[in-house]
Amino acid sequence: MNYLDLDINLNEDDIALRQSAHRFAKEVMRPIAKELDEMTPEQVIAKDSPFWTFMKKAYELGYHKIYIPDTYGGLDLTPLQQAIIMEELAWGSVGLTVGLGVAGFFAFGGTLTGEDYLVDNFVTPFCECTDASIVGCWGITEPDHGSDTVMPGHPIFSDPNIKGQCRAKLDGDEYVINGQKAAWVSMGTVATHCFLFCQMDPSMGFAGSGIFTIPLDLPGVSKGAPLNKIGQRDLNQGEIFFDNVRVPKDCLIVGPEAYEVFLETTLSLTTASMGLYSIGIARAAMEEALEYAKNRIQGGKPLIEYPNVQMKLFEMFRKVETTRLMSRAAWNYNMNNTESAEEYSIIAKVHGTQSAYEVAHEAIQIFGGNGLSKEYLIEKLFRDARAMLIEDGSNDTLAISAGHKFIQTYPRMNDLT
Amino acid sequence: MGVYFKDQKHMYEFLEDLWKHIVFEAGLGEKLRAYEVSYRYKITDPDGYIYIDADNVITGEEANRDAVLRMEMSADTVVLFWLKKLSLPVALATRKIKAKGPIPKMLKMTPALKPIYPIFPEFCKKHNVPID
Ligand SMILES: Cc1cc2nc3c(=O)[nH]c(=O)nc-3n(C[C@H](O)[C@H](O)[C@H](O)COP(=O)(O)OP(=O)(O)OC[C@H]3O[C@@H](n4cnc5c(N)ncnc54)[C@H](O)[C@@H]3O)c2cc1C
Repeated sequence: MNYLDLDINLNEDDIALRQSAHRFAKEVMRPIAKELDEMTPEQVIAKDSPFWTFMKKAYELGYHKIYIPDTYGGLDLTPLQQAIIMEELAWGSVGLTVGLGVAGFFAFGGTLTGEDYLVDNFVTPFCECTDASIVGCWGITEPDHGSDTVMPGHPIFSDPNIKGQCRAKLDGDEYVINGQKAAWVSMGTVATHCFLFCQMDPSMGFAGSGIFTIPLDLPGVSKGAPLNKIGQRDLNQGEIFFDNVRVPKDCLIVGPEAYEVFLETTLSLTTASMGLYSIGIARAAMEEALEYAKNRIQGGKPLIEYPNVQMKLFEMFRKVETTRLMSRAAWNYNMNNTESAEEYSIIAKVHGTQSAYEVAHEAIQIFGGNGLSKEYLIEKLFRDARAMLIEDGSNDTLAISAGHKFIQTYPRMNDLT
Repeated sequence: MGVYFKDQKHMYEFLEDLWKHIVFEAGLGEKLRAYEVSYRYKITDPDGYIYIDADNVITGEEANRDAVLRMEMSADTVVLFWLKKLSLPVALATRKIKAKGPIPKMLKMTPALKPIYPIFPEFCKKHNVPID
């Protein structure tokens, strides 16, 4: 379905990208996501699962490398084009889109340094991969530390009494990693590589962490069982364990000297992405409700003719459109400034995911009893949207973190002229 | 004042010579044109500007103009960066380098700038920039 884009500067390429991503979302992602939603987590990732059909098709089309520049083998996309693709794919399935997004984090990390070791070992093979045999994940949260790990800038983050459960220590020319990451690591049990955020200097609390790009086929790495959950069931998640895992020193991208700020930059992109995904899923729920309201007859006329239904649909429409404006703006700003403004991305995440959840919730109301039935897509969209309020940081703690930042930085100046 | 350049004139002579070589002789110019990239560096200690695109390498006030990628850093950071004594993500995170402009374009240019690393010490020697 096409929609009016309020951005009057979209060019032909932007529109063509939107159309092709939408086709992929509709023809490949929607049907596969529905099938996966009804499977067990083990079935979802089995060799013959349609999950792999999706992954392979996505890799063939290059959707796994939308953040990577073409000079490394990625796509030559503008920040706006990246945003458009994220929205469309999330319209097809937010769970599959998140999985595809984290799959490339470790390679994107490699492009930030441009170091030969990372480019040759990770970035180039990932970009050349067309069969989804190279899949990354983002290991940051731990069983006892969820919100603790995503609050840079807040005093909690530098509390030396808060000890990480996954640590890296330098030993000669290698780092030795011990501990584990949470069952929530997206793509955790299928990943071949990890963008690993773990503690290095516990005296600095979580601020004393570092970021590594590592392969997961090393001795000492093991995985947990895939997680079973209410929403985004098409997104594989699971623990990763490290038992004296040795990685070359060159795998380190950023150490404790710059971790906290670097994490802010990372989160300013991941939370803005969540805002962009929110547009896709909210739009999907709104369109389902609109279509249903046109066809369902009650009191002798279609639901759409009732003013309360019209008002609900307008509220949905308002939330979709404002989410698009805020999320694109935060993404665009932070993709154009190395001094990130994380609090704006958190507005995009909190506003966007809350809106997506409310839109899906109201859509179920329009569907009546049918909204609760597995017959209709809307109940899946509702469950998927619910997970987004916690995904990539609980909205509660992100609000605390962004509130803290806002108080300290407002009015924020961009002094680079 | 930083440790590597005597004054602004010394820095401008060095930077102009280096960038003119890279852009016009070593082939970077073609890439800047193809990728539609221009740079404006605002430098401190000594203070100054340099602007680079496919056809121009300009220093001084005239170089303080709009560019696709606008970078800000000290003169010492410039030298340390090209000597590979500073990693880009760390320099960005610690605000030693500030950048404005599309990050995809900035990352896209990184491989094209690689040839600068090996020749950089030679240019330092030629211009008496004390890197040893
Ligand atoms: C779908 C999904 C995908 C995910 N993908 C990944 C991934 O790829 N990689 C990864 O590492 N992790 C991932 N996560 C984990 C996610 O980042 C965490 O779930 C999230 O940060 C919250 O942590 P938690 O679940 O441990 O909740 P907790 O930290 O235990 O928080 C629970 C609640 O306690 C309250 N609370 C917590 N701390 C504070 C505080 N300081 N002040 C006030 N109130 C507080 C808040 O109300 C919060 O909602 C994912 C999660 C989901 C749901």
